[in-house]
Amino acid sequence: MDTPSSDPQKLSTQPQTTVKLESPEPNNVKIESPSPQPEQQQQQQQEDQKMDVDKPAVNEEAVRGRRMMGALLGTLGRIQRETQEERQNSRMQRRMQLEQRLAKRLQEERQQLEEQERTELERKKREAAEELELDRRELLRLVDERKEQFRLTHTKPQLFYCEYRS
Amino acid sequence: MGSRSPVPSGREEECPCLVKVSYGYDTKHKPFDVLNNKTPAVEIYVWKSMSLYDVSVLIADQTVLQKEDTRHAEWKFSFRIAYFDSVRRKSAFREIGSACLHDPDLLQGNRLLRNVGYRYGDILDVSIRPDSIRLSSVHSK
Repeated sequence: MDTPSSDPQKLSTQPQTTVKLESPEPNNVKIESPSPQPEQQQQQQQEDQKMDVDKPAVNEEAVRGRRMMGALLGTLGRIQRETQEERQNSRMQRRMQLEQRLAKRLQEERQQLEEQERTELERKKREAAEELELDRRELLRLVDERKEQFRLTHTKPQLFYCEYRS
Repeated sequence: MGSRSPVPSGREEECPCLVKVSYGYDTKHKPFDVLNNKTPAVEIYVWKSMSLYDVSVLIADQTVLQKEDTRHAEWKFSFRIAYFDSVRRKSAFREIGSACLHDPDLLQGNRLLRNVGYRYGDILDVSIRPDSIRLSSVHSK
């Protein structure tokens, strides 16, 4: 049986066979840390257990704190709203009182003005009637004067006439 | 104290004439009725230098000033002359102005009869309307 000889001349002439080597995948490579000692392992386990017990206590405190904060803020906001409403009410009351006073004053002034106008108008009417009476008497007096200056016919109605004067 | 008219109403040389004035309270007569004596009328003595205000006073003396409820100065007199238009062959009116009793300066109260074209023998038509006194006069002249 021919075995692969060590003869170099023969080696080169022999057909070469390729061998595929499978390289290991990097992901599947597991690098394990050096395992701790047993005492340290126990301590770590104990610490892990402690953390598991404290977690619910911390959450409860936070929740309680948030709840209290919310109640406080709610109370503060309510108080603030109430004080604002009170202020607005008092302001509105003062404004209404002021408006009422102004309206009353305006009405009084308007009444006074109307009264003044009425008295002024009555005075003017009275004066106009008196002056009309004076004018009427004066004109009738003038007409009577003409009766003396001119002649009147005996007809009805009577007519004035003036004689021709050269 | 004389009349409030700015121009003296009397002149010694001017002879007064008798004029017929047809009147109505807030009504407008037809010229045919006025010329044919079918409307109420008064007769007054006027002269040409008299103003419309003076004529209004003389008319009021025989009309509105006779009754108690109408005896005040808040009246307006609107004057028209009735004549027969020979061209159109029908009776017609010609407006000559208005006057208020409470103020001779308002409207055409200062106009003289001679200046508005009045001639002796013309028949006047007057419409009497109430005219209230205002604190600020806004009548247009």
